[in-house]
Amino acid sequence: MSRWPLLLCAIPFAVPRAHGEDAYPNGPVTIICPWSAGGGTDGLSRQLAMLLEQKLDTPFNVVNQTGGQGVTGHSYGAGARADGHTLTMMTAELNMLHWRGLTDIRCDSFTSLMMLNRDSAALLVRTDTPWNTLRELEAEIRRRPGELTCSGTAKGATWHLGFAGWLDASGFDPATVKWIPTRGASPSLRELVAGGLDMVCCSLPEAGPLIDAGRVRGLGVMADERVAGFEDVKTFKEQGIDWTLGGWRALGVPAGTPDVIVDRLRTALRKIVKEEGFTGFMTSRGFGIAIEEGEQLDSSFATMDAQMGRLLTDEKFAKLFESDYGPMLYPRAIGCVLLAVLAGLLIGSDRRHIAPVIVVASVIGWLLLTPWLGFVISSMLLLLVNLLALGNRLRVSAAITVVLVTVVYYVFSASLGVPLPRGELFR
Amino acid sequence: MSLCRAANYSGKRLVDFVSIQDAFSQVFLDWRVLATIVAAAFYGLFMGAVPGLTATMAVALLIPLTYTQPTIFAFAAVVTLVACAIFSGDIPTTLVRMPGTPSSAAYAEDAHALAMQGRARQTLGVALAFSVVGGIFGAIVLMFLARPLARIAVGFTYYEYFWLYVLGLSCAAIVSRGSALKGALALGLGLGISTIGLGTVYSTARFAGDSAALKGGIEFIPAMVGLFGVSEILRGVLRPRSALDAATLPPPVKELSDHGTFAGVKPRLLRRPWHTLRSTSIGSLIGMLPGAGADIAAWVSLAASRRFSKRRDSYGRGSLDGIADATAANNSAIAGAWIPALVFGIPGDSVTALVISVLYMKKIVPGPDIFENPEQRTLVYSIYLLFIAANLVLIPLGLLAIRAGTTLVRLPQRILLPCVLLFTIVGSFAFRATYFDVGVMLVMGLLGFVLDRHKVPLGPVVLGLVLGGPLEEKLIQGLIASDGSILAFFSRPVAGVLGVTTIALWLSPTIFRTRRRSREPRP
Repeated sequence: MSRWPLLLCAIPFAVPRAHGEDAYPNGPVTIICPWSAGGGTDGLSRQLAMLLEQKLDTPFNVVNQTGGQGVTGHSYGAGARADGHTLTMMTAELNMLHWRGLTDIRCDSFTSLMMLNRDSAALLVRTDTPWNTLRELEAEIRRRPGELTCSGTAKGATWHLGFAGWLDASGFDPATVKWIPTRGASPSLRELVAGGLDMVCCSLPEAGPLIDAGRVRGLGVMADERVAGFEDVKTFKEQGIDWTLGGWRALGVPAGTPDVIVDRLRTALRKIVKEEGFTGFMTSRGFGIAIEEGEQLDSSFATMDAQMGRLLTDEKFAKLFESDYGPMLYPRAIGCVLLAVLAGLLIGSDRRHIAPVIVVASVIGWLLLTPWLGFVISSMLLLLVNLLALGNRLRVSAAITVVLVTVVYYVFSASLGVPLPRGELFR
Repeated sequence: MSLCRAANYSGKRLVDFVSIQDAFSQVFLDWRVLATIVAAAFYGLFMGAVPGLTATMAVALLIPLTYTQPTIFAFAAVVTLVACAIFSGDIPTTLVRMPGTPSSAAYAEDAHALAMQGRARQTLGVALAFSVVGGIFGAIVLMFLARPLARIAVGFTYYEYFWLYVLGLSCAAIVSRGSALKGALALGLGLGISTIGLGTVYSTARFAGDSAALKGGIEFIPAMVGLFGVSEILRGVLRPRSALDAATLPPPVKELSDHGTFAGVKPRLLRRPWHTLRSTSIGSLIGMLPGAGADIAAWVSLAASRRFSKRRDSYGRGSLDGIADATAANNSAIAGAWIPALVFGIPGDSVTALVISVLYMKKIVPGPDIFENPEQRTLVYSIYLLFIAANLVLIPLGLLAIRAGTTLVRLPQRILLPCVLLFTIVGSFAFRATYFDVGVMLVMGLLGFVLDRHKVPLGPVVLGLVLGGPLEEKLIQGLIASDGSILAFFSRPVAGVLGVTTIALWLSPTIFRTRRRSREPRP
């Protein structure tokens, strides 16, 4: 009697299932989208999922594996089992992440099924600014070097490279316009409209709603030809600047996926990209249709990878991607707040429970603060906090702190020659 | 305002009655639209109640279907499901202290404390009623004030957002259970954890070593599920055997249960209408800002509620007033997010970003011109009506959900706790489909357990995690733009006001009073 539940559980496994490559797809397929729900890449992924579902007669689910500027999604996608049940919507960041040492995943970590979309970078300004052409904007940049601000994405991502490349091609130092890192085109455009930025570099379809609403104006697009739907935006080439750059989206499976499966998916995609369900979607969202596959696609990837590598490893550009404010500024500030809070908690509560927490927290705080404040101040803080935590009086604690830290500093630094950090603040 | 605008285009009449009539018949007289609303309500209630499944996810799944359907169905579904999801997040929050959405985290401890006193149904009744009030208020603001408000909303730059985030975080520290300092400790932990991985403003990963998973950062959904849900399970399983055999929640209190689910609603609606008005206004204002949302709205409203309450002590230990004010705010924030979306085509949150993409599919261009074309004007009016319809549908279906939930927690803990554990795992995994997130959930569960033992509130940890990244972004953006000047953060009028308000809040006697109270019990 008591075995019945177990037997019931076994039923799903007893049903015979199809096996092997011939039976592909034998179960639901996942499309990994490395970007969040609501964006352009997500929209394209979901549209393709719907169309592939109809063609291959199995569920296609989109999963948004976001984070790490695309590292997370691409890493999971490339590392998935190569059985065709995990597809990845690859994006242009694949050409960049590995050059920046963020991941080992590259385009050739995937077997790319088909390139679907390419959009060129464009330069946009608010409509209430006096700049109508690139030349006028260049004159303004020359007049006020280091003052103007631009954004479109994080530092070192596609649109930033496009922008810096343009400045370089026009004979400027690429750092002459401040690049303010943001999450992407949509928050950048919001800042542009709010007056927090002077210009934005992103694709024209991303700015479509605001161009239509008459809030922003395109000065130029970094493409060979004008973009359909945005015919009044001139190309950079037309304005005498030889510079093109764009982002792309392609569908891929992990490298090493059997050819039979790759062919099946490609055949389905070849049909899909000719149908209204795909073309209608792309036109309505303003996405540029760019179908490439096989060797042609591999060579495009190689060309773009080399272009990005040239930019990202060039010394002139390398300094662009560093932050003006070190990556530890904010964690350190939080560390300070935590220390202050702990100190406050100490003063007003039962000391025994908190003492071990203080010990750990003060060491962490010391680690965070020392490179910044130097050995003397941070050690004094550490000692004072711990002395107070154990119930010593303030006067006694302060005296011990000052004497001991001074002695230790001179013994170790002067007599023993240990290089105790002086702190960046006092340099 | 949109009405005045409409008046400009329809000649002498104040309101374009034809469009309103069309909108009315589209929404209320078409059984297919009504059926869509009901179906979407069930879907939204489910997605909101399961932590890890979000309203954005639900909408994204619907989008491809909407391409082939008439626009009105798409909006009926989106509007209803989001309104229902935000409310139903309160159900697991109250019953098992596991917030279904981050905006419920603000009052998780209050709501669960009340449930443990046998007042789960009254609590959820208040949450439901004030969600509906907030939702309808938000819709009314959207109808009449969209245009002037949108103009304010699009003027927010990184300086303003920086202060808004600091204000939201400060409110969280102040209103939480226990002293403000413990709230600040929780907040600091959340902010600290949020710095793990690759941020937006740096091209290097922090505190991640070589782990690809850590480089992706800690997502707040699995973290929230762990902090609240798993730690509650850990607390539960440590109870003696006899307690495990008992029902998860104590039976309803006799004298209260006579008055039914809505017992707590009437006195709060009638005796404190100004508090409700304040809460819903806060919700609409914060909701309309792209980059802020229902979660900040709930915290700020809760803090304001506590500040003006005569029963300040009950906050954090089970305050129905606080829950009423916070739920009213987070629901009115939903409609707020549509304000910049419809008026300027700027999405207020990830859901309205999807909505804009639907509009484009339907060849409708959001922006100032949306009110000019009669057909589009009808659509805008029907969106208003849909908001009201969705909130009305929420009343019966919400009651049904409350009934289902409160029946489930009559199960003994030894059965329910393992089931809840499974749900926490599924919810964490579902968000990004990675095992790493389940690990995050477990670690955060242990952290939550330790914090609970030391009476440190958990809600601020979640808000710290949610806002940690954006706060850093705005700080660094502001610093780069101003070449490192702190004064620039006060240089714009709105930023200056927000900044001074925040600093005044820190120095206000509220903090000192809380401190003094927390010190009093000391011998």
